[in-house]
Amino acid sequence: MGRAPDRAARTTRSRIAEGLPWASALARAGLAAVFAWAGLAKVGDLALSRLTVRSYQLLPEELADLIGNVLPFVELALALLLLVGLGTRVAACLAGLLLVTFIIGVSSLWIRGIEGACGCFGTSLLSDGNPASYPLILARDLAFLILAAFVALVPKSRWSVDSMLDRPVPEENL
Amino acid sequence: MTTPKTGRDAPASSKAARRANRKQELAARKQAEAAAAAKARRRRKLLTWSGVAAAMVLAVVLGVVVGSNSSDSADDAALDTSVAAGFPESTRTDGGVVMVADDAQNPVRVELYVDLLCPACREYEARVADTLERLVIDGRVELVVHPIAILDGLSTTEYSSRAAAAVACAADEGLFWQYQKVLYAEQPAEGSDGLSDQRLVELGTQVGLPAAFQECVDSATEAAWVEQVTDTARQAGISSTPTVLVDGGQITGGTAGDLEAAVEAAE
Repeated sequence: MGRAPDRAARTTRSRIAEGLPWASALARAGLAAVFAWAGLAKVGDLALSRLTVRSYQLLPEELADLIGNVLPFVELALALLLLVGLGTRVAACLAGLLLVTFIIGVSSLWIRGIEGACGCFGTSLLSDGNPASYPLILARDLAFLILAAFVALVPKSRWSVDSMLDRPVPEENL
Repeated sequence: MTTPKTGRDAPASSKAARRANRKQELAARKQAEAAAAAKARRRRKLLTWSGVAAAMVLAVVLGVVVGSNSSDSADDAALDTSVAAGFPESTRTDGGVVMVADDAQNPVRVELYVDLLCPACREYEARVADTLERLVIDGRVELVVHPIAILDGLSTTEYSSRAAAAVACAADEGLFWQYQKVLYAEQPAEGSDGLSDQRLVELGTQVGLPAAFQECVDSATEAAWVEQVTDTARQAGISSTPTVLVDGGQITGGTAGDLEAAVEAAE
């Protein structure tokens, strides 16, 4: 009696199991694109990147400058790892960690009422006249964070170096 | 569970023995597979972690090396407070400080909204000063600076307002641009006490401002002008600095090239 729905449930489950690696690959690519974009936008003007980190007024100047210098390259490195799918889970966790710090930083700007550019995807030295929309920035970061969490939870994905490494090693190579 | 004794009662147990053998083989194969899988897992772990670690270390090293080679323009300019020869004297109007060559014909109006405490304003000035001075000297640009005070909350002594009033005093003596440069060179950090009035006067003396400048700073008469310029800017929707208008239109590119291109387009 209960067999038919059972089988249906099983096929649904297996279908989800089959789809997950594809979904993970898609999420990975999306996250990689976000970080590549963010990194590329900043990497050409590190002086501005340093100024932006300083403008959050959360860190001593030397530390802010260090982060301003390093952050664009870290974003690019994470984008690369996510793109090729190497160390996917670790990379996604690091990406999530970065996003959490971004969310804390932007929230603190909002709470303290500092009108500044978030510098998320790079900025010009000049203001564009539009006041920063903090709720929008936070919502966007939160969406990226969810994406990162999904990749971290489902790191097995198609088209990834990880999945190639997962294949058992042939005997003679052992 | 039970080990079949193959020696006794051969025909009955041979089937069992074969079954046992197969079981053993299966177990051995399983074990080998498990070992291979474990080895693969170890290899994968090693490769992924070293891949991630290498990428991160490379990123940090690149950041530190490239970053230390790209010092702020403002840092380089900290020592260079000189102004190009032939740069016109400043005059003050109700809305700002004007610098334009005497023989300029239909110059393009470039307006800068700055707060003297704003680090990006200092950086912008350092990036465009040479270009801007050349454009003004060549009579192609009429430069109008609006020193506004929107960051008074970021110093304990309302430095933004005091510094803006001081540059207004300097503007009356014709040396706005020169004085602004030394104020940027000594720009205090956000959240600090800012420069004292006494230091503001000292720096003015350095660029050759006369005694009238000190009287002007001491009397604090220009506070009202700063307030008016700030209010006018706010009403025009200018809420952050630096804001740059070329021929009335806001530009967003932050390099000297962007500025020159905008001026060329407006000519």
